[in-house]
Amino acid sequence: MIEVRNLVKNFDSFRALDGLNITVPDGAIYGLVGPNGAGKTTTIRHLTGVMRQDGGDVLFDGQPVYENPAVKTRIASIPDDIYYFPQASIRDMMRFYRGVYPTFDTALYEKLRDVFALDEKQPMRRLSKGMLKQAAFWLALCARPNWLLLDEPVDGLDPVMRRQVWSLILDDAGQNGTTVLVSSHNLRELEDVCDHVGIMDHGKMLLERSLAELQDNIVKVQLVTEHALPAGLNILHSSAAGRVRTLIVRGAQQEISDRISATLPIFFDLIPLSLEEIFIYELGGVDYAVKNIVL
Amino acid sequence: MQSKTSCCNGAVLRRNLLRFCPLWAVFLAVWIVVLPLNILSGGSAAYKEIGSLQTYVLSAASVAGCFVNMFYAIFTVMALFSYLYSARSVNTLCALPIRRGTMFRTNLLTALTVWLAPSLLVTLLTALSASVIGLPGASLALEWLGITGLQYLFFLGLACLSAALVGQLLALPALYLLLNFTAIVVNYFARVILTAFVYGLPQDSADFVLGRGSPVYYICSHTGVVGTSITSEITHYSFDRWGYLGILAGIGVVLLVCAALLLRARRLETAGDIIAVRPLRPVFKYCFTAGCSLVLGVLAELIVFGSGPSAARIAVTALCLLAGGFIGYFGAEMLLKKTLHVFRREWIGYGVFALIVLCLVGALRIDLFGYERYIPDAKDVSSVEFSAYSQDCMPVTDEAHIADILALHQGAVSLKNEQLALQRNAGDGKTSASTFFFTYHMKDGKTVSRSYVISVTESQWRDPKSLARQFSAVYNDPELVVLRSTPTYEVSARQISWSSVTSYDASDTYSSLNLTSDEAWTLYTEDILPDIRDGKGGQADLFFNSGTADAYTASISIQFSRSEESDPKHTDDFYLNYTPIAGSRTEQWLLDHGAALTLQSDYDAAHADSTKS
Repeated sequence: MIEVRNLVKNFDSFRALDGLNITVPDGAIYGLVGPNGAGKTTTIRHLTGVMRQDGGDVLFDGQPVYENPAVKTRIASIPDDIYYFPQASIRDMMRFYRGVYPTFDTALYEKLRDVFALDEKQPMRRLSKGMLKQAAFWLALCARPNWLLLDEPVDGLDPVMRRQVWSLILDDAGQNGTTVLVSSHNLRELEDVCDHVGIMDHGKMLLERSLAELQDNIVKVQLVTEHALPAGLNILHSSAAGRVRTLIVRGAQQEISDRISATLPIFFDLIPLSLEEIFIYELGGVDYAVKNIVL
Repeated sequence: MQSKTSCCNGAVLRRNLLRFCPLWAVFLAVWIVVLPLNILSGGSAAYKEIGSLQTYVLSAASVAGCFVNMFYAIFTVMALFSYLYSARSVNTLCALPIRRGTMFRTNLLTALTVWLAPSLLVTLLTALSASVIGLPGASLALEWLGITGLQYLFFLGLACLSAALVGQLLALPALYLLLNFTAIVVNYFARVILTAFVYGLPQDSADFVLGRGSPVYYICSHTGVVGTSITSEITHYSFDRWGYLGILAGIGVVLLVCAALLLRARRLETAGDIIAVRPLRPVFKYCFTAGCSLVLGVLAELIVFGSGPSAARIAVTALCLLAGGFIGYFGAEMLLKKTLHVFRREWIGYGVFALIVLCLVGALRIDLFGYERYIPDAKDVSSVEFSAYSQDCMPVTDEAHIADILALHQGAVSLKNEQLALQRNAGDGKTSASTFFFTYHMKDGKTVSRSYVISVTESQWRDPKSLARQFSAVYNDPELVVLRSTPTYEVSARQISWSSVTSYDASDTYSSLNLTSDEAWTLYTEDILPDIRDGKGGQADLFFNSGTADAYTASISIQFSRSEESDPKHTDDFYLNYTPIAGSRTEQWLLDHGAALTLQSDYDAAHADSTKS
C-alpha cells in the first residue's frame, strides 16, 4: 500500500504541497487528477524518492521511500519528460536498467519486442516523443515493479498505442497485482482504467474515493417542474435552457430521486456524471476557474 | 529487503566508463605526446644525460601536469555529475534504487579510474621510451605519476565541491576557475588599490602573500625541480615540493568529503539554479559583490582615470569600487533569482555593502591602523636594507647608519602631504623624483618594508637641508655604497659570470673590452671597492643629473651569478654597473689594460661645440 501522510513541500516561499494525504490500496489503479499547479508532479517526485519532503511521510508498505533502495527497487516510474543517456539505444538502456534493477525480466523484454516494434539498436535521441514513451513503458514493465508510477503516461502516443499501453498496464496489474498510480489530465481515459481517484488542488487532496463511490455520490438531474425544488438538496451547480433545468447534486442517487419525485415534476431524469464532470464540479466548489462552464 | 547497491554501482560505473571514453582517450593522447613520444623523437640528441631527461619529465609533471590535471578534473566532473543540473535527468536517475552516497562513490571511482588507467600506461611507456634512448627512466616515470596524482586529487576535490555547490552545468567550471584563481587575483588587485592609498606601502608587487592559495600560480612559479651536483658535469634533478603537493592532496580529500556530504543533503529541485546550497546563496552574493567591486572598480579606475596620484583619486576610487560593487551585487541577484527585475528590491544589502566600502576607504585615508605613521624604534632594529632600486643589497647593521636611515624615514613620513603634492606635478619638467626602499629586519625576527617616492623641485634641490638632499647624502655615503655594490651572498672570482668595460669617445665611437673573471675580480676587489671607500666612485645620480663632473663616459659591468637552491634553472644574479672617475685606482687599472677613456665633461663640451657649429 502507498501511504502519503501530511506531506509538505516548500519551494522557497511557495508551498507546493500542503499536508497532502494519499492512500493507494494494493493492486489499485489510482488516478491522480487535479488542475495545473495542483502539485501532482511534485507528489510523484516524492513518491519516486527524488525529492525530500519538508514534512510528513511517504511510505510504501510502511517503509519510507527516500534514500531507500530496498523500496525503490520495487518501484518503476515514467516521468512526464523522459531521460536517456544521449548516445544510448534502447538496448543500451535495457542493459543499464538490468544492472540497476535486480528484478529486471530479460525474457519479458524479449517478449515485448514484438508489441512495441521499435528498433532497439537505434539511438534513442532519434526516436519521436511517442516512441520514447513506448520505450519507457517497455523498460519500466520489464523491471517487474510492485508499484508503477506514471506521470502523464500516454501523452504523445497515438490512439492505437494508447490502447495497447493501457492494455499492458491492466494486464500487468491483473496478473502481477502491480499497484499503479497515474497522473493525467485525460480524465475520460482515466475513467476507463482507474478504480480509485484522488482529486488534488493547491497541494491538498480534495477528494479521494473509489470511482464507483465517487460516481454514486454525485448526480446530474434534468427536470421540468412548475414547483419549487425540495429543500435540503446539496446542489453544486444549476443552469437552465428554456424550461429544462440542469442540476448537479451531491448525494445518493436513490434519495435524490425520491425527493424530486415527491414534488411531482413534469419531467425528470438522473444522469450519471463522467469523471471529467465530477472533476469540474468538485473543483468548482473551491473556486476553480471553470466553475461556470455549462454542460 | 537488502539493497543490491552498496559501495558502488557496477551498472553506473560501466556506463560512466563507456560514455566518457573520448575524454580519457584525449587525456591519454596528450600525455603520450608530451612524454614517451617527445622522449623518443628527441632521442639521445636532446637527452644526452639523465639530468636533462629528469628536468624535462619533472617539469612536465609539475607545470604541464598542473594545467592538464586542472582541466581534466573539471571536464571529468562535469561529465559525471551533469545529471544533477537538469530536472529531466534528475527525475529519472535519482528515482533509481541507488543511494546518493553510492552514486557519489561510483562517480568518484570512475574519476579515479579514468585518471589512473591512462596514467599507468603513460608511466610504463615513459619508462620504456627512456630505456630505448639508453637512460634509466622507471623511477622518474613513477615520480611523474606521484606528482600528477597528488595534483589530480586536489583538483578533483575542488571540482567535486564546485559540482556540489552549483545547480547549473555552466556555473560549475565558472565557480571552479574562480576558486582556483581567487586568491591570486584578490591579492593582486588589493595590492594595487592599497599601493594607491597607503603612503609608504612597498610598490614591489612580486610577492603574492596569497599565492599558495592559487595552486596553479604557485606550482608554475615554484616548479620544485632542484638540482644536486654529482660531479662537475653531472647534476641530478629531483622534485622537492612533495610537502606542498601532499597538503594539496589532503585538502582535496577533505573537499571530496565535503562534496559527498553536500550532495547527500542536496535538494534536487535546485537543478537549474546557480547556487544549489541555499544557505550559501548570500555568501555567494556578497563574495561576488566584493570581487566585482575590487576587480571591476580597480580596472575602471586604471582604464578611465589612470594610475597617477591626484587630489580627487580617493573619491574616484571609492566611486569605482561602489560602481563595481553595484554591478556585482545586482548581477549576483539576477543570477540567483534568474530575472532582470531585481532593482526594485534588495537595495538594503547594497547599501550595507556601500557603507562598508566607504568605511574601509575612509579608514585607509585617515590611516586608522597607523601603518603610515609607524616608524620602527632604533633599538628594535637589527639591520636595514636601504636602496633606490628593488635589487637586494647587503643590510646596514651599524647603529649610526641605521639612525641616519630612520631619520630619512621620519622625514618622508613628516612631509607626506608635500611629497604627494610634488608627485601630482610630476612630468612638468621642474621636478625630479627617485623611489627609495626601506626594509627593516627587527630583532624579534619580523620584517618591516616601506617605499617612498621622493620628489624635489630645482629650487628645493639647491637647499642642502631639503629632504631630497638628505636622501642623496645618506644614500651616497661611501660605506652604504660599498654595501650596495656587494651581492647578498659570499662571492669570489667563480661567481663572476660576465664582465666588460664599454666606453665611447667624443666622436661617439664605441669601444668594448671583455674581462676574464680573474681580471674582473682583481678590478672589483683592489680598485673599485677601495675607490668607493675613498669616496672616488659609486655615487648615484638620483636627482637632476647631479653626478660628479670628473666621471668618464665608460661603464664597468660585472655580473655575479649563483644558482638558486630552490630552482636550479634560475640564478640569483647581481649586476654591478660602475662609472670610473678621474684620479682613481680604477681609472689607472683601465688605462693599464688599454681601455680608452673620455671624460664626460669633454664629451659634453665637444657635443656643445658641434651643436653650435
